[in-house]
Amino acid sequence: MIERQQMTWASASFGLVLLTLFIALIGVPLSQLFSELLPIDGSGLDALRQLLLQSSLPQSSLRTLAVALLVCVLASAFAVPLAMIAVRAHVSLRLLVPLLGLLPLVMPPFVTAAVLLYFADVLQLAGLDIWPDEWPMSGRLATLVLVYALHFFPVILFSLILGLDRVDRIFYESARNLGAGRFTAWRRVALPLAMPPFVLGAALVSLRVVEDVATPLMLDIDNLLAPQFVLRLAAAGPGDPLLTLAALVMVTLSALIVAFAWSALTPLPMRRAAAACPQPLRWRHSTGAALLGAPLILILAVLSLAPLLGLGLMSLANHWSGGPLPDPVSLFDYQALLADGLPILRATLAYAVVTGILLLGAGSALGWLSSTPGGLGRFTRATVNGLFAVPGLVLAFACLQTAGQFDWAQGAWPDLAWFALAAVVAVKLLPFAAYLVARQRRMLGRGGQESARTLGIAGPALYLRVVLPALVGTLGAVFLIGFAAAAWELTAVLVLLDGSSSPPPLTLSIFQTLQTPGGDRTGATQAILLILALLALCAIIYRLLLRRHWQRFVPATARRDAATQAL
Amino acid sequence: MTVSEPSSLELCDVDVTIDQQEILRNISLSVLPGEMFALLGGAESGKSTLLRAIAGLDRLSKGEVWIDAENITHTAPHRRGVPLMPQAFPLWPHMAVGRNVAFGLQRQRLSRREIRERVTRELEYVGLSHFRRHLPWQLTPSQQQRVALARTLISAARIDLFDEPFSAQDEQLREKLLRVLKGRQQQSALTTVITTQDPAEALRFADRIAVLHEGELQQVGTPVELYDMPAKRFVAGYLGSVNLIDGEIEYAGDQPLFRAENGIVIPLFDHPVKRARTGSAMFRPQDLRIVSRDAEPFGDEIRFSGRVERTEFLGDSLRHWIDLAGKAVCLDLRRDATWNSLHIGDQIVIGLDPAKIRILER
Repeated sequence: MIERQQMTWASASFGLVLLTLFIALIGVPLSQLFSELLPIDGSGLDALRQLLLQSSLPQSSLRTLAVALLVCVLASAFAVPLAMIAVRAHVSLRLLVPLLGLLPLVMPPFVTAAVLLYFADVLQLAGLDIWPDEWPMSGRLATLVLVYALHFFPVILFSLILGLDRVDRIFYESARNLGAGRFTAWRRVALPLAMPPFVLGAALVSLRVVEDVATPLMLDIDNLLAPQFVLRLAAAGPGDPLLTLAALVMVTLSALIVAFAWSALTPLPMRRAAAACPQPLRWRHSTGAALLGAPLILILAVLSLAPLLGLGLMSLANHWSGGPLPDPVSLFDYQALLADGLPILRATLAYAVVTGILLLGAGSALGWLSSTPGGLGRFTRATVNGLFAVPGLVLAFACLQTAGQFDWAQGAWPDLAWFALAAVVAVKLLPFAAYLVARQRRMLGRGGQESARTLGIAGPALYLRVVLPALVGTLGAVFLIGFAAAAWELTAVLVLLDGSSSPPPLTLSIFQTLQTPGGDRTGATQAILLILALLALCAIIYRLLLRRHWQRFVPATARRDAATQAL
Repeated sequence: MTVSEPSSLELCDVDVTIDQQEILRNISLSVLPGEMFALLGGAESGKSTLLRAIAGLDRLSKGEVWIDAENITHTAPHRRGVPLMPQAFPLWPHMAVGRNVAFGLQRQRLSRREIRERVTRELEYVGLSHFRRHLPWQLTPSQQQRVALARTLISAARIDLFDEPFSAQDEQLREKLLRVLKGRQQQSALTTVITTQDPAEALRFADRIAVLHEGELQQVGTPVELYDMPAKRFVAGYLGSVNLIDGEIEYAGDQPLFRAENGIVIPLFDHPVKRARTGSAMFRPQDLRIVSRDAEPFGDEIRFSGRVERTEFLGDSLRHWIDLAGKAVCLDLRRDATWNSLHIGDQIVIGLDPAKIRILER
């Protein structure tokens, strides 16, 4: 058992101040936003209900939920067999699964949608309306579900691998031994035990689907909640009360999803009963998994690589007549972007770095607070996890509304908008950052610090020589998460920067260029450059922080075992 | 409570290889109907693998497993009817205690009422009838073990397998749980195979014992046979304290003699001695007794002179290490009026009944 850190009164007071400040920073804009909806008398509530019923919000909310559900189902259909292989197949196959699974996550779903649209055009498919109009999910919604599933299935895949990996083989074997067939043992024992991480993964996917704007807009879908919100904002301005109502509906939807996930995550200690069995028994390699593995891995490779390859080809094509390769291949856009696009790159880089730093600061502080014992730690954890229920779209809108109430903020808005954007992206990532920091800090434990004290290291030296080195890899990862998420963030950008920003962030430029007729090649080039930049940053941070950290704190044999077992 | 007749188990020339590592070699043994059979051995001796092979969870690379007259070598684990309670007593954490216990019965297509009654009865038997709706993590480890025991016993199986079932428990609780298991086994005449690392546990509770060492079967027999007539030095040493004196076997005419390396000569009367030139004379510490120098020998008793080197307190007895011409042997004295009369450095004479001596191959 890992000991929680003890807290002095001074630390607790400082933590309390920090937490209050954080809650105020998030809570004030949100409460100001929703206070407009508070009925002063009975008629206010009626007016609210009338407004809701007269709008298309109920239909678009249901449609959004249906899309989220279908995405989870389709993504699970991709992920379940692959997760089984990752857990049970031979090592060489197992290593490939997460590697290939990571690829779709390096670019956002709206780029995948653009690639799909482009190739539908090249191959002269009928506009991607692959679903008959009379069916419930008509038109391009089915395409949207496919795009989301292709993009998000790794999230469910990794959740499932995590879930299955924590199920001791011995649980499954006991069921078999007591008379259950393979399927029954899987259904009644392995699957329920693997379910909590799976539900968490599905909830994360659903939350992203609820608040994503760019992908539906790329596919000309405007009857979902988030695109409707952004289009209404552009048309009617931030003062429209329907926008506030829509924000409330989005928060409610997100809260429902979070509540559902929370109920599935009800503490179910996976304590392995035997003290005599210190490590969980891993699944044995099965011949069936190995036989099925190769073709499934091939499918995964196709699913993962196709959008990236398509994007690469788009960026090189002057013209495409439907052959296996574009007719003339050109590097023109790469040269042009590197020559003319430096301001865009610089602005994006600066804002992404600010996001990373904000996330690092707030994530470390909240992670530290949430790893503390007692009520303060519990309250921090609840507050931070509660952020899952607030979509970035709503946060950005709340910032916009709050800024509108102050003259000084309106005057400084173009610059302030960048900062607000960075803050919104960082706040959305705070639950992950705080969890990572808290987890790493708990792993160090009180024992680690007490050992250092007995060896004569105390005070600031303790933090410099023990705590900080132990956290450095995690902090690097947190910064990287913030940087990468900011680089690809578009929903908050569309709310806060309204297309007038000059230079625009690269992701907005990509989105606008891809929507422009004939802008496929330039947009794809920009996307490729951003992907390459992110991969390079990942490599640099890995070399500078993560690998060093990994080598320092984990013995070689444990690293090898962990690498094998984690997969 | 068991509805089926006790079954016999037979292993024929069983080999098990896992991940290119040979875990078991040439294991052949029989378990009789209704007996409690112990597999005794140290860590990595292959006990657990042998149980898993019987349950069908590990495949045999060679050999056969028979239950009664049925060859189950290639039968799927869920069709064998041999529930195994693993060392890790893995209760499914998402199922309440009642559902955990009922799991095996639900596969037998019994009515809900019958399942409920049998679960209640089984939980009462292990003293946990009030915990039916609890989740496993709400129980203490010992309660969890009793649930695992109930889950294994309820299946009315042909043979029950227990892999070091209570090893994680303290001495008192382990003994209590073993008594519960033994009582149930005797009451229902269950054929039971149990593994253990503790020789005292095996000697006390098992009807017969098989000793395993490094994947090989050393000896099978009743507790008395194994203790008094071990076939190998490993078995002799594993089952209790033992004196082993290396030497050679000679013949004075037809009389076999054992000449120890320290020069002591021991005549071997009525003793089955193989025609091996070298061997080890084995006898237990409690086979030795202190005699007075001028007392008449008792029967064929052999006498040695030695010096007390050190003593150890064992609770109910005192162990004296005696130097016999350069070879230390131990002698246990029970706690009576003279139990602490010996002191370090005392010269004493000890007597040994030659019938208690066993010559083992080296």
